[in-house]
Amino acid sequence: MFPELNSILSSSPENFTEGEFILLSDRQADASFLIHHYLTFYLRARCRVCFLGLVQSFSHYSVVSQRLGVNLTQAKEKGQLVFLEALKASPGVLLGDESSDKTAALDYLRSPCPELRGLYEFVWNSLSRAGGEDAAESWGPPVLIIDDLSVLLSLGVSAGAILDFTHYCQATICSQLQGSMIALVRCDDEEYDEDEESSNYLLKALSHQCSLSLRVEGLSTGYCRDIHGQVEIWWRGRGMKNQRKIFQYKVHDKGASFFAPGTSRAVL
Amino acid sequence: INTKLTRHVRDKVVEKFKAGTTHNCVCVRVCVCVCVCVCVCVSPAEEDQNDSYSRLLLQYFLAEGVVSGHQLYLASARDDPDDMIQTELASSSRFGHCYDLSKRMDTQMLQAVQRHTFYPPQEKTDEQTSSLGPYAGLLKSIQTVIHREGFDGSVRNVLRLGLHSLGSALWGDDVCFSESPASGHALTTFLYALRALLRSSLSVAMVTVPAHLIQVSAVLGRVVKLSDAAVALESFSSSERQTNPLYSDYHGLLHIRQVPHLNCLMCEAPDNKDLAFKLRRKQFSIEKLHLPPDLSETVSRVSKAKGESPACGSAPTGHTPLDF
Repeated sequence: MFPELNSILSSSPENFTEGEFILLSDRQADASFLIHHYLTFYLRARCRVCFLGLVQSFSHYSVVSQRLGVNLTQAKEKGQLVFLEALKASPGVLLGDESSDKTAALDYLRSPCPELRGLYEFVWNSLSRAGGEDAAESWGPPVLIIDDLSVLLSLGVSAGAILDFTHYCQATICSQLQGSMIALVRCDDEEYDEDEESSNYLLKALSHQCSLSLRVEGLSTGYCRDIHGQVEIWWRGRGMKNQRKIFQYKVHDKGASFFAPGTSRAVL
Repeated sequence: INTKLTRHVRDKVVEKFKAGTTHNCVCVRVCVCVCVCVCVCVSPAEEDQNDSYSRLLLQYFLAEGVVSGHQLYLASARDDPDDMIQTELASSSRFGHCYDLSKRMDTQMLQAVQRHTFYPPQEKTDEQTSSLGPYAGLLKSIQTVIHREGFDGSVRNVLRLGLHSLGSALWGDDVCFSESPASGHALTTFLYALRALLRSSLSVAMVTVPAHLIQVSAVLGRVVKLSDAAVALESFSSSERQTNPLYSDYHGLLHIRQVPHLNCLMCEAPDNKDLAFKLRRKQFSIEKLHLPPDLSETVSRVSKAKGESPACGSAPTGHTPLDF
Protein backbone atom coordinates (compact mmCIF):
# COMPACT_ATOMS: atom_id res chain seq x y z
CA MET A 1 0.00 0.00 0.00
CA PHE A 2 1.08 3.55 -0.53
CA PRO A 3 1.36 5.63 2.65
CA GLU A 4 0.94 8.92 0.79
CA LEU A 5 -2.32 7.75 -0.73
CA ASN A 6 -3.51 6.60 2.68
CA SER A 7 -3.00 10.04 4.13
CA ILE A 8 -4.77 11.69 1.18
CA LEU A 9 -7.73 9.35 1.65
CA SER A 10 -7.52 9.59 5.44
CA SER A 11 -7.54 5.87 5.83
CA SER A 12 -5.24 3.23 7.25
CA PRO A 13 -5.39 -0.52 7.75
CA GLU A 14 -6.42 0.13 11.34
CA ASN A 15 -9.07 2.67 10.49
CA PHE A 16 -10.99 2.64 7.22
CA THR A 17 -14.54 3.21 6.01
CA GLU A 18 -16.63 0.10 5.65
CA GLY A 19 -19.21 -0.61 2.98
CA GLU A 20 -17.34 1.32 0.27
CA PHE A 21 -17.58 0.81 -3.47
CA ILE A 22 -14.33 2.21 -4.82
CA LEU A 23 -14.17 2.72 -8.57
CA LEU A 24 -10.75 2.94 -10.22
CA SER A 25 -10.52 4.05 -13.82
CA ASP A 26 -7.93 5.13 -16.31
CA ARG A 27 -7.67 6.88 -19.65
CA GLN A 28 -4.36 7.18 -21.53
CA ALA A 29 -2.67 5.78 -18.42
CA ASP A 30 -2.55 2.62 -16.35
CA ALA A 31 -4.29 2.56 -13.00
CA SER A 32 -3.25 -0.97 -12.12
CA PHE A 33 -0.77 0.36 -9.54
CA LEU A 34 -3.84 1.29 -7.48
CA ILE A 35 -5.03 -2.30 -7.59
CA HIS A 36 -1.77 -3.34 -5.92
CA HIS A 37 -2.29 -0.61 -3.33
CA TYR A 38 -5.76 -1.83 -2.37
CA LEU A 39 -4.83 -5.50 -2.41
CA THR A 40 -1.99 -4.99 0.02
CA PHE A 41 -4.00 -2.45 2.06
CA TYR A 42 -6.90 -4.76 2.78
CA LEU A 43 -4.70 -7.78 3.42
CA ARG A 44 -2.77 -5.69 5.95
CA ALA A 45 -6.10 -4.69 7.45
CA ARG A 46 -6.81 -8.40 8.04
CA CYS A 47 -9.84 -8.43 5.80
CA ARG A 48 -10.96 -11.47 3.86
CA VAL A 49 -10.24 -10.68 0.20
CA CYS A 50 -11.68 -12.22 -2.95
CA PHE A 51 -9.58 -11.22 -5.97
CA LEU A 52 -10.80 -11.77 -9.51
CA GLY A 53 -7.59 -12.05 -11.55
CA LEU A 54 -9.01 -11.52 -15.02
CA VAL A 55 -5.98 -9.95 -16.72
CA GLN A 56 -2.81 -11.09 -14.97
CA SER A 57 -1.60 -14.23 -13.31
CA PHE A 58 -1.29 -14.76 -9.57
CA SER A 59 2.51 -14.65 -9.73
CA HIS A 60 2.46 -11.10 -11.09
CA TYR A 61 0.51 -9.79 -8.09
CA SER A 62 2.53 -11.96 -5.77
CA VAL A 63 5.87 -10.53 -6.90
CA VAL A 64 4.64 -6.95 -6.66
CA SER A 65 3.00 -7.51 -3.28
CA GLN A 66 6.23 -8.99 -1.99
CA ARG A 67 7.91 -5.68 -2.78
CA LEU A 68 5.16 -3.90 -0.91
CA GLY A 69 5.65 -6.17 2.08
CA VAL A 70 2.74 -8.59 1.81
CA ASN A 71 3.00 -12.33 1.12
CA LEU A 72 0.12 -13.41 -1.10
CA THR A 73 0.94 -17.11 -1.04
CA GLN A 74 0.77 -17.13 2.71
CA ALA A 75 -2.50 -15.19 2.68
CA LYS A 76 -3.92 -17.74 0.26
CA GLU A 77 -2.82 -20.66 2.41
CA LYS A 78 -4.30 -19.15 5.54
CA GLY A 79 -7.60 -18.70 3.75
CA GLN A 80 -7.48 -14.91 3.92
CA LEU A 81 -7.17 -14.51 0.15
CA VAL A 82 -9.29 -16.27 -2.46
CA PHE A 83 -7.75 -15.74 -5.92
CA LEU A 84 -9.54 -16.63 -9.13
CA GLU A 85 -6.92 -17.45 -11.79
CA ALA A 86 -9.33 -16.65 -14.57
CA LEU A 87 -6.70 -15.65 -17.15
CA LYS A 88 -4.73 -18.87 -17.05
CA ALA A 89 -7.82 -21.06 -17.14
CA SER A 90 -9.28 -19.34 -20.18
CA PRO A 91 -7.65 -21.15 -23.15
CA GLY A 92 -8.83 -24.50 -21.85
CA VAL A 93 -12.36 -23.26 -21.42
CA LEU A 94 -12.47 -21.50 -24.80
CA LEU A 95 -11.18 -24.56 -26.65
CA GLY A 96 -13.46 -26.89 -24.72
CA ASP A 97 -10.64 -29.05 -23.38
CA GLU A 98 -11.68 -32.04 -21.31
CA SER A 99 -9.22 -31.15 -18.60
CA SER A 100 -10.35 -27.56 -18.36
CA ASP A 101 -11.98 -25.83 -15.43
CA LYS A 102 -15.65 -26.77 -15.31
CA THR A 103 -16.76 -24.30 -12.68
CA ALA A 104 -19.56 -21.89 -13.43
CA ALA A 105 -17.32 -18.96 -12.49
CA LEU A 106 -15.93 -18.94 -16.03
CA ASP A 107 -19.32 -19.16 -17.74
CA TYR A 108 -18.72 -15.80 -19.39
CA LEU A 109 -16.27 -17.60 -21.69
CA ARG A 110 -18.58 -20.47 -22.38
CA SER A 111 -22.12 -19.91 -23.39
CA PRO A 112 -23.26 -18.34 -26.65
CA CYS A 113 -24.64 -15.57 -24.47
CA PRO A 114 -21.87 -14.84 -21.97
CA GLU A 115 -23.11 -13.95 -18.53
CA LEU A 116 -21.78 -13.44 -15.07
CA ARG A 117 -24.14 -15.25 -12.76
CA GLY A 118 -21.60 -18.00 -12.15
CA LEU A 119 -18.96 -15.43 -11.33
CA TYR A 120 -21.26 -13.75 -8.82
CA GLU A 121 -21.92 -17.06 -7.13
CA PHE A 122 -18.20 -17.66 -6.87
CA VAL A 123 -17.79 -14.29 -5.17
CA TRP A 124 -20.70 -14.98 -2.82
CA ASN A 125 -19.34 -18.37 -1.83
CA SER A 126 -15.89 -16.93 -1.20
CA LEU A 127 -16.96 -14.06 0.97
CA SER A 128 -20.20 -14.95 2.68
CA ARG A 129 -18.68 -17.32 5.19
CA ALA A 130 -17.30 -14.96 7.79
CA GLY A 131 -14.21 -16.18 9.56
CA GLY A 132 -13.57 -19.28 7.48
CA GLU A 133 -14.02 -22.87 8.52
CA ASP A 134 -12.03 -22.76 11.72
CA ALA A 135 -12.94 -20.02 14.14
CA ALA A 136 -9.30 -19.59 15.13
CA GLU A 137 -8.80 -17.01 12.42
CA SER A 138 -11.52 -14.43 12.29
CA TRP A 139 -11.05 -11.94 9.54
CA GLY A 140 -12.36 -8.41 9.13
CA PRO A 141 -15.03 -7.27 6.67
CA PRO A 142 -15.05 -9.01 3.27
CA VAL A 143 -13.47 -7.25 0.29
CA LEU A 144 -13.93 -7.90 -3.44
CA ILE A 145 -11.29 -6.65 -5.88
CA ILE A 146 -11.83 -6.93 -9.64
CA ASP A 147 -8.96 -6.45 -12.10
CA ASP A 148 -10.47 -5.49 -14.41
CA LEU A 149 -14.06 -5.10 -15.57
CA SER A 150 -13.45 -3.71 -19.04
CA VAL A 151 -11.71 -6.86 -20.27
CA LEU A 152 -15.12 -8.57 -20.01
CA LEU A 153 -16.32 -6.26 -22.79
CA SER A 154 -13.44 -7.54 -24.95
CA LEU A 155 -14.65 -11.07 -24.29
CA GLY A 156 -18.14 -10.40 -25.52
CA VAL A 157 -19.98 -9.79 -22.24
CA SER A 158 -22.53 -6.99 -22.55
CA ALA A 159 -22.25 -3.83 -20.50
CA GLY A 160 -25.70 -4.55 -19.10
CA ALA A 161 -24.58 -7.91 -17.76
CA ILE A 162 -21.54 -6.31 -16.14
CA LEU A 163 -23.69 -3.66 -14.49
CA ASP A 164 -26.06 -6.32 -13.19
CA PHE A 165 -23.09 -8.17 -11.75
CA THR A 166 -21.65 -5.12 -9.99
CA HIS A 167 -25.09 -4.22 -8.69
CA TYR A 168 -25.54 -7.66 -7.14
CA CYS A 169 -22.04 -7.56 -5.70
CA GLN A 170 -22.57 -4.13 -4.21
CA ALA A 171 -25.88 -5.10 -2.69
CA THR A 172 -24.42 -8.22 -1.09
CA ILE A 173 -20.92 -7.21 -0.16
CA CYS A 174 -21.25 -3.52 0.64
CA SER A 175 -24.77 -3.24 2.01
CA GLN A 176 -25.45 -6.68 3.43
CA LEU A 177 -22.01 -7.78 4.61
CA GLN A 178 -20.67 -4.26 5.29
CA GLY A 179 -17.62 -5.08 3.22
CA SER A 180 -15.98 -3.15 0.40
CA MET A 181 -15.66 -3.56 -3.32
CA ILE A 182 -12.94 -2.23 -5.62
CA ALA A 183 -13.22 -2.41 -9.40
CA LEU A 184 -11.04 -1.13 -12.23
CA VAL A 185 -12.43 0.06 -15.56
CA ARG A 186 -10.04 0.99 -18.37
CA CYS A 187 -11.18 3.49 -21.00
CA ASP A 188 -10.12 5.01 -24.25
CA ASP A 189 -10.66 8.31 -25.93
CA GLU A 190 -11.53 6.62 -29.18
CA GLU A 191 -14.70 5.08 -27.87
CA TYR A 192 -17.94 6.93 -28.35
CA ASP A 193 -20.04 7.56 -25.28
CA GLU A 194 -23.22 6.74 -27.12
CA ASP A 195 -21.99 3.25 -27.80
CA GLU A 196 -23.62 1.13 -25.13
CA GLU A 197 -20.93 -1.48 -25.29
CA SER A 198 -18.08 0.89 -24.58
CA SER A 199 -16.00 1.24 -21.45
CA ASN A 200 -17.01 4.89 -21.27
CA TYR A 201 -20.62 3.89 -20.89
CA LEU A 202 -19.71 1.38 -18.22
CA LEU A 203 -17.65 3.99 -16.41
CA LYS A 204 -20.46 6.54 -16.41
CA ALA A 205 -22.94 4.05 -15.00
CA LEU A 206 -20.56 2.79 -12.33
CA SER A 207 -19.61 6.34 -11.32
CA HIS A 208 -23.15 6.78 -10.12
CA GLN A 209 -23.03 3.60 -8.06
CA CYS A 210 -19.69 4.14 -6.37
CA SER A 211 -18.87 5.94 -3.12
CA LEU A 212 -15.29 6.87 -4.03
CA SER A 213 -13.83 7.30 -7.47
CA LEU A 214 -10.16 7.54 -8.45
CA ARG A 215 -9.66 8.55 -12.08
CA VAL A 216 -6.18 8.20 -13.47
CA GLU A 217 -5.25 10.09 -16.60
CA GLY A 218 -2.18 10.92 -18.56
CA LEU A 219 -1.06 14.54 -18.54
CA SER A 220 -2.86 16.74 -21.05
CA THR A 221 0.50 18.15 -22.13
CA GLY A 222 1.76 14.76 -23.19
CA TYR A 223 4.08 12.09 -21.95
CA CYS A 224 6.57 12.95 -19.26
CA ARG A 225 8.96 10.55 -17.63
CA ASP A 226 8.96 12.19 -14.21
CA ILE A 227 5.25 12.76 -13.80
CA HIS A 228 3.28 9.75 -14.91
CA GLY A 229 -0.11 11.38 -14.80
CA GLN A 230 -2.79 12.73 -12.54
CA VAL A 231 -5.37 11.19 -10.25
CA GLU A 232 -8.73 12.82 -9.66
CA ILE A 233 -10.18 11.68 -6.36
CA TRP A 234 -13.91 12.15 -5.97
CA TRP A 235 -15.51 11.54 -2.61
CA ARG A 236 -19.11 10.99 -3.60
CA GLY A 237 -20.80 11.82 -0.36
CA ARG A 238 -23.72 14.13 0.29
CA GLY A 239 -23.48 17.89 0.68
CA MET A 240 -20.17 18.94 2.20
CA LYS A 241 -18.80 15.41 1.93
CA ASN A 242 -18.91 15.57 -1.86
CA GLN A 243 -15.55 16.83 -2.96
CA ARG A 244 -12.99 16.38 -5.70
CA LYS A 245 -9.24 16.80 -5.58
CA ILE A 246 -6.55 16.35 -8.18
CA PHE A 247 -3.04 15.03 -7.55
CA GLN A 248 -0.18 14.24 -9.85
CA TYR A 249 1.67 11.00 -9.30
CA LYS A 250 4.75 9.04 -10.10
CA VAL A 251 5.03 5.27 -9.69
CA HIS A 252 8.29 3.81 -8.34
CA ASP A 253 9.58 0.35 -7.96
CA LYS A 254 8.18 0.00 -4.44
CA GLY A 255 5.39 2.50 -4.27
CA ALA A 256 3.95 5.68 -5.65
CA SER A 257 4.23 9.29 -4.69
CA PHE A 258 1.42 11.78 -4.94
CA PHE A 259 1.79 15.53 -5.00
CA ALA A 260 -0.20 18.65 -5.74
CA PRO A 261 -0.08 19.60 -9.44
CA GLY A 262 3.10 21.44 -10.31
CA THR A 263 5.01 20.38 -7.23
CA SER A 264 6.88 17.40 -8.63
CA ARG A 265 10.49 17.29 -7.46
CA ALA A 266 11.56 17.28 -11.07
CA VAL A 267 9.98 20.65 -11.65
CA LEU A 268 10.74 22.53 -8.45
CA ILE B 1 19.41 -6.16 -33.47
CA ASN B 2 20.70 -2.71 -34.09
CA THR B 3 17.53 -0.75 -34.50
CA LYS B 4 16.61 1.44 -31.61
CA LEU B 5 13.13 0.01 -31.58
CA THR B 6 14.28 -3.47 -31.14
CA ARG B 7 16.81 -2.41 -28.58
CA HIS B 8 14.12 -0.45 -26.87
CA VAL B 9 11.53 -3.15 -27.14
CA ARG B 10 14.12 -5.68 -26.20
CA ASP B 11 15.05 -3.69 -23.15
CA LYS B 12 11.50 -3.28 -22.09
CA VAL B 13 9.88 -6.46 -23.24
CA VAL B 14 12.59 -8.99 -22.82
CA GLU B 15 14.52 -7.43 -19.98
CA LYS B 16 14.23 -10.72 -18.21
CA PHE B 17 16.14 -12.27 -21.12
CA LYS B 18 19.85 -12.08 -20.82
CA ALA B 19 20.41 -12.94 -24.49
CA GLY B 20 23.03 -10.24 -24.97
CA THR B 21 25.84 -11.36 -27.19
CA THR B 22 25.90 -14.98 -26.12
CA HIS B 23 23.21 -17.02 -27.73
CA ASN B 24 22.82 -19.67 -25.13
CA CYS B 25 22.54 -17.42 -22.13
CA VAL B 26 18.82 -17.31 -21.57
CA CYS B 27 17.93 -16.24 -18.09
CA VAL B 28 15.57 -18.58 -16.28
CA ARG B 29 13.28 -15.68 -15.54
CA VAL B 30 12.32 -15.75 -19.20
CA CYS B 31 9.16 -17.49 -18.03
CA VAL B 32 7.79 -14.03 -17.64
CA CYS B 33 6.36 -13.99 -21.07
CA VAL B 34 5.00 -11.22 -23.05
CA CYS B 35 3.07 -10.35 -26.10
CA VAL B 36 4.27 -7.53 -28.26
CA CYS B 37 1.69 -6.05 -30.52
CA VAL B 38 2.70 -3.98 -33.48
CA CYS B 39 -0.17 -1.98 -34.87
CA VAL B 40 0.25 -0.42 -38.21
CA CYS B 41 -1.71 2.68 -39.09
CA VAL B 42 -1.19 4.08 -42.49
CA SER B 43 -2.40 6.73 -44.75
CA PRO B 44 -4.43 5.02 -47.47
CA ALA B 45 -1.97 5.67 -50.27
CA GLU B 46 0.72 3.70 -48.54
CA GLU B 47 -1.12 0.52 -47.61
CA ASP B 48 1.08 -2.09 -49.19
CA GLN B 49 4.18 -0.36 -48.09
CA ASN B 50 3.08 -0.41 -44.53
CA ASP B 51 2.31 -3.99 -44.27
CA SER B 52 5.90 -4.34 -45.38
CA TYR B 53 7.13 -2.22 -42.44
CA SER B 54 5.38 -4.35 -39.87
CA ARG B 55 6.38 -7.48 -41.74
CA LEU B 56 9.97 -6.24 -41.54
CA LEU B 57 9.78 -5.88 -37.78
CA LEU B 58 8.43 -9.40 -37.61
CA GLN B 59 11.40 -10.59 -39.63
CA TYR B 60 13.85 -8.86 -37.28
CA PHE B 61 12.07 -10.55 -34.38
CA LEU B 62 12.30 -13.98 -35.99
CA ALA B 63 15.87 -13.48 -37.20
CA GLU B 64 16.91 -12.78 -33.62
CA GLY B 65 15.20 -16.04 -32.70
CA VAL B 66 17.22 -17.96 -35.29
CA VAL B 67 20.48 -16.44 -34.11
CA SER B 68 19.62 -17.15 -30.47
CA GLY B 69 18.71 -20.76 -31.10
CA HIS B 70 15.04 -20.35 -30.21
CA GLN B 71 12.24 -22.28 -31.84
CA LEU B 72 10.00 -20.37 -34.20
CA TYR B 73 6.28 -20.42 -34.78
CA LEU B 74 5.01 -18.35 -37.67
CA ALA B 75 1.40 -17.88 -38.68
CA SER B 76 0.32 -15.89 -41.68
CA ALA B 77 -2.83 -15.88 -43.75
CA ARG B 78 -1.40 -13.93 -46.63
CA ASP B 79 2.08 -15.25 -47.31
CA ASP B 80 3.19 -18.82 -46.90
CA PRO B 81 5.07 -18.86 -43.59
CA ASP B 82 7.68 -21.23 -44.99
CA ASP B 83 8.50 -18.68 -47.67
CA MET B 84 8.69 -15.95 -45.06
CA ILE B 85 11.22 -17.90 -43.05
CA GLN B 86 13.30 -18.63 -46.15
CA THR B 87 13.66 -14.92 -46.77
CA GLU B 88 14.96 -14.17 -43.29
CA LEU B 89 17.47 -11.40 -42.79
CA ALA B 90 21.14 -12.18 -42.65
CA SER B 91 23.38 -11.17 -39.81
CA SER B 92 25.72 -8.37 -40.69
CA SER B 93 28.12 -8.89 -37.85
CA ARG B 94 30.13 -11.85 -36.65
CA PHE B 95 28.41 -11.85 -33.30
CA GLY B 96 24.89 -11.75 -34.59
CA HIS B 97 22.14 -9.41 -33.39
CA CYS B 98 22.75 -6.97 -36.25
CA TYR B 99 20.91 -7.58 -39.47
CA ASP B 100 21.41 -6.52 -43.06
CA LEU B 101 18.23 -5.94 -45.02
CA SER B 102 19.93 -6.45 -48.34
CA LYS B 103 21.05 -9.98 -47.57
CA ARG B 104 19.29 -13.24 -46.88
CA MET B 105 20.14 -15.67 -44.14
CA ASP B 106 22.32 -18.61 -44.92
CA THR B 107 20.17 -21.67 -45.75
CA GLN B 108 22.28 -23.87 -43.53
CA MET B 109 21.47 -21.70 -40.56
CA LEU B 110 17.80 -21.73 -41.47
CA GLN B 111 17.70 -25.48 -41.80
CA ALA B 112 18.98 -25.84 -38.27
CA VAL B 113 16.01 -23.93 -36.95
CA GLN B 114 13.11 -25.83 -35.48
CA ARG B 115 10.04 -24.17 -36.80
CA HIS B 116 6.28 -24.54 -36.77
CA THR B 117 3.99 -22.84 -39.19
CA PHE B 118 0.31 -22.13 -39.52
CA TYR B 119 -1.10 -21.19 -42.91
CA PRO B 120 -4.92 -21.17 -42.99
CA PRO B 121 -5.28 -22.33 -46.61
CA GLN B 122 -3.46 -25.51 -45.59
CA GLU B 123 -5.29 -26.11 -42.31
CA LYS B 124 -8.59 -27.87 -42.05
CA THR B 125 -11.20 -25.59 -40.59
CA ASP B 126 -13.45 -26.87 -37.85
CA GLU B 127 -16.88 -25.57 -36.97
CA GLN B 128 -16.56 -22.16 -35.39
CA THR B 129 -18.56 -22.57 -32.26
CA SER B 130 -16.74 -20.52 -29.66
CA SER B 131 -16.22 -16.82 -29.28
CA LEU B 132 -12.77 -17.30 -30.81
CA GLY B 133 -14.43 -17.34 -34.23
CA PRO B 134 -11.89 -17.81 -37.02
CA TYR B 135 -8.96 -17.92 -34.58
CA ALA B 136 -9.95 -21.13 -32.81
CA GLY B 137 -7.70 -23.23 -35.06
CA LEU B 138 -4.75 -20.93 -34.51
CA LEU B 139 -5.12 -20.98 -30.73
CA LYS B 140 -5.46 -24.74 -30.70
CA SER B 141 -2.34 -25.06 -32.84
CA ILE B 142 -0.30 -22.81 -30.55
CA GLN B 143 -1.52 -24.62 -27.45
CA THR B 144 -0.59 -27.97 -29.03
CA VAL B 145 2.92 -26.86 -30.03
CA ILE B 146 3.63 -25.38 -26.60
CA HIS B 147 2.55 -28.55 -24.87
CA ARG B 148 4.08 -31.04 -27.30
CA GLU B 149 7.50 -29.32 -27.38
CA GLY B 150 7.49 -28.90 -23.62
CA PHE B 151 7.62 -25.11 -23.39
CA ASP B 152 5.17 -25.26 -20.51
CA GLY B 153 7.28 -27.62 -18.48
CA SER B 154 10.61 -29.22 -19.07
CA VAL B 155 12.24 -27.40 -21.96
CA ARG B 156 14.66 -24.58 -21.23
CA ASN B 157 14.38 -22.83 -24.56
CA VAL B 158 12.16 -20.09 -25.90
CA LEU B 159 9.39 -20.32 -28.46
CA ARG B 160 9.10 -17.18 -30.56
CA LEU B 161 5.69 -16.72 -32.13
CA GLY B 162 5.16 -14.39 -35.06
CA LEU B 163 1.51 -13.83 -35.93
CA HIS B 164 1.12 -11.82 -39.08
CA SER B 165 -1.69 -9.41 -39.85
CA LEU B 166 -4.28 -10.67 -37.39
CA GLY B 167 -7.66 -9.08 -37.94
CA SER B 168 -7.31 -8.95 -41.69
CA ALA B 169 -10.01 -10.46 -43.86
CA LEU B 170 -7.67 -13.25 -44.95
CA TRP B 171 -8.02 -14.75 -41.49
CA GLY B 172 -11.77 -14.94 -41.97
CA ASP B 173 -12.28 -12.04 -39.59
CA ASP B 174 -14.62 -9.26 -40.61
CA VAL B 175 -13.43 -6.72 -38.04
CA CYS B 176 -11.54 -4.99 -40.87
CA PHE B 177 -14.44 -4.43 -43.17
CA SER B 178 -17.55 -4.28 -41.06
CA GLU B 179 -18.75 -1.74 -38.51
CA SER B 180 -20.65 -4.39 -36.62
CA PRO B 181 -18.66 -7.52 -37.21
CA ALA B 182 -20.26 -10.90 -36.78
CA SER B 183 -17.18 -12.21 -35.02
CA GLY B 184 -16.99 -8.95 -33.10
CA HIS B 185 -14.89 -10.20 -30.24
CA ALA B 186 -12.93 -12.93 -31.95
CA LEU B 187 -9.69 -10.99 -32.24
CA THR B 188 -9.76 -9.64 -28.68
CA THR B 189 -10.77 -12.99 -27.23
CA PHE B 190 -7.92 -14.63 -29.12
CA LEU B 191 -5.38 -12.10 -27.81
CA TYR B 192 -6.68 -12.65 -24.28
CA ALA B 193 -6.27 -16.42 -24.57
CA LEU B 194 -2.85 -15.95 -26.20
CA ARG B 195 -1.71 -13.95 -23.20
CA ALA B 196 -2.81 -16.82 -20.95
CA LEU B 197 -0.78 -19.32 -22.98
CA LEU B 198 2.29 -17.07 -22.96
CA ARG B 199 2.08 -16.59 -19.20
CA SER B 200 2.21 -20.34 -18.66
CA SER B 201 5.11 -21.09 -20.97
CA LEU B 202 8.56 -19.99 -22.07
CA SER B 203 7.34 -18.11 -25.09
CA VAL B 204 7.03 -14.64 -26.51
CA ALA B 205 4.80 -13.47 -29.30
CA MET B 206 4.85 -10.61 -31.74
CA VAL B 207 1.55 -9.85 -33.42
CA THR B 208 1.01 -7.43 -36.27
CA VAL B 209 -2.39 -5.87 -36.85
CA PRO B 210 -3.44 -3.73 -39.82
CA ALA B 211 -4.86 -0.98 -37.64
CA HIS B 212 -5.82 1.25 -40.54
CA LEU B 213 -8.35 -1.31 -41.68
CA ILE B 214 -10.19 -1.80 -38.42
CA GLN B 215 -13.60 -0.20 -38.67
CA VAL B 216 -14.70 -0.38 -35.05
CA SER B 217 -12.78 2.30 -33.18
CA ALA B 218 -12.94 0.63 -29.78
CA VAL B 219 -11.21 -2.54 -30.98
CA LEU B 220 -7.79 -1.01 -31.43
CA GLY B 221 -7.72 0.34 -27.88
CA ARG B 222 -8.68 -3.08 -26.60
CA VAL B 223 -5.99 -4.76 -28.69
CA VAL B 224 -3.38 -2.44 -27.17
CA LYS B 225 -4.56 -3.13 -23.63
CA LEU B 226 -4.51 -6.86 -24.25
CA SER B 227 -0.86 -6.65 -25.27
CA ASP B 228 2.04 -6.20 -22.91
CA ALA B 229 3.90 -3.89 -25.26
CA ALA B 230 2.39 -2.09 -28.20
CA VAL B 231 3.92 -0.01 -30.92
CA ALA B 232 2.16 1.82 -33.72
CA LEU B 233 3.75 2.68 -37.03
CA GLU B 234 2.30 5.64 -38.82
CA SER B 235 3.75 6.29 -42.21
CA PHE B 236 3.73 9.67 -43.89
CA SER B 237 2.01 10.25 -47.14
CA SER B 238 4.24 11.94 -49.70
CA SER B 239 2.42 15.26 -49.22
CA GLU B 240 3.03 15.24 -45.45
CA ARG B 241 6.70 14.69 -46.01
CA GLN B 242 6.85 17.67 -48.32
CA THR B 243 4.95 20.11 -46.14
CA ASN B 244 6.60 19.37 -42.81
CA PRO B 245 10.39 19.82 -42.82
CA LEU B 246 10.70 17.84 -39.61
CA TYR B 247 9.40 14.77 -41.36
CA SER B 248 11.39 15.00 -44.57
CA ASP B 249 14.17 12.73 -43.32
CA TYR B 250 11.82 9.96 -42.26
CA HIS B 251 9.25 7.57 -43.58
CA GLY B 252 6.94 7.68 -40.62
CA LEU B 253 6.38 7.97 -36.91
CA LEU B 254 6.71 5.24 -34.36
CA HIS B 255 4.43 5.59 -31.35
CA ILE B 256 4.95 3.60 -28.19
CA ARG B 257 1.45 2.85 -27.06
CA GLN B 258 2.23 0.57 -24.18
CA VAL B 259 5.29 -0.39 -22.17
CA PRO B 260 5.07 -3.63 -20.23
CA HIS B 261 5.31 -3.81 -16.47
CA LEU B 262 5.04 -7.45 -15.67
CA ASN B 263 5.92 -8.50 -12.15
CA CYS B 264 6.66 -4.94 -11.16
CA LEU B 265 4.77 -1.77 -10.35
CA MET B 266 6.56 0.22 -12.99
CA CYS B 267 9.36 -0.58 -15.36
CA GLU B 268 12.00 1.83 -16.51
CA ALA B 269 10.06 4.46 -18.41
CA PRO B 270 11.46 5.70 -21.72
CA ASP B 271 12.45 9.34 -21.59
CA ASN B 272 10.81 10.07 -24.88
CA LYS B 273 8.02 8.38 -26.73
CA ASP B 274 8.22 10.40 -29.95
CA LEU B 275 10.19 8.36 -32.40
CA ALA B 276 10.41 8.34 -36.17
CA PHE B 277 11.54 5.60 -38.50
CA LYS B 278 13.30 5.44 -41.82
CA LEU B 279 13.79 2.47 -44.08
CA ARG B 280 17.33 2.60 -45.33
CA ARG B 281 18.91 0.19 -47.76
CA LYS B 282 20.48 -2.00 -45.14
CA GLN B 283 18.56 -1.29 -41.98
CA PHE B 284 15.32 -0.09 -40.53
CA SER B 285 16.34 2.75 -38.30
CA ILE B 286 14.46 4.49 -35.55
CA GLU B 287 15.44 7.81 -34.08
CA LYS B 288 14.22 10.30 -31.56
CA LEU B 289 12.22 13.04 -33.18
CA HIS B 290 13.09 15.64 -30.57
CA LEU B 291 14.53 16.01 -27.12
CA PRO B 292 12.38 15.17 -24.11
CA PRO B 293 11.19 17.91 -21.71
CA ASP B 294 14.16 19.06 -19.72
CA LEU B 295 12.71 17.98 -16.41
CA SER B 296 14.76 15.01 -15.40
CA GLU B 297 15.74 15.06 -11.75
CA THR B 298 19.21 14.07 -12.84
CA VAL B 299 19.77 17.11 -15.05
CA SER B 300 22.34 19.30 -13.42
CA ARG B 301 21.02 22.80 -12.85
CA VAL B 302 24.57 24.01 -12.36
CA SER B 303 25.38 23.52 -16.04
CA LYS B 304 23.26 26.59 -16.89
CA ALA B 305 26.07 28.75 -15.54
CA LYS B 306 28.69 27.33 -17.87
CA GLY B 307 29.59 29.13 -21.05
CA GLU B 308 27.94 27.71 -24.14
CA SER B 309 28.88 27.77 -27.78
CA PRO B 310 26.70 29.93 -30.05
CA ALA B 311 23.25 28.46 -30.50
CA CYS B 312 23.17 28.36 -34.28
CA GLY B 313 25.55 27.62 -37.02
CA SER B 314 28.19 25.69 -35.13
CA ALA B 315 28.52 22.02 -34.47
CA PRO B 316 27.94 21.12 -30.83
CA THR B 317 31.23 20.85 -29.00
CA GLY B 318 30.24 20.69 -25.36
CA HIS B 319 28.69 17.73 -23.62
CA THR B 320 26.30 19.38 -21.21
CA PRO B 321 22.67 18.46 -21.83
CA LEU B 322 21.72 22.06 -22.44
CA ASP B 323 24.03 22.62 -25.38
CA PHE B 324 22.32 22.93 -28.72
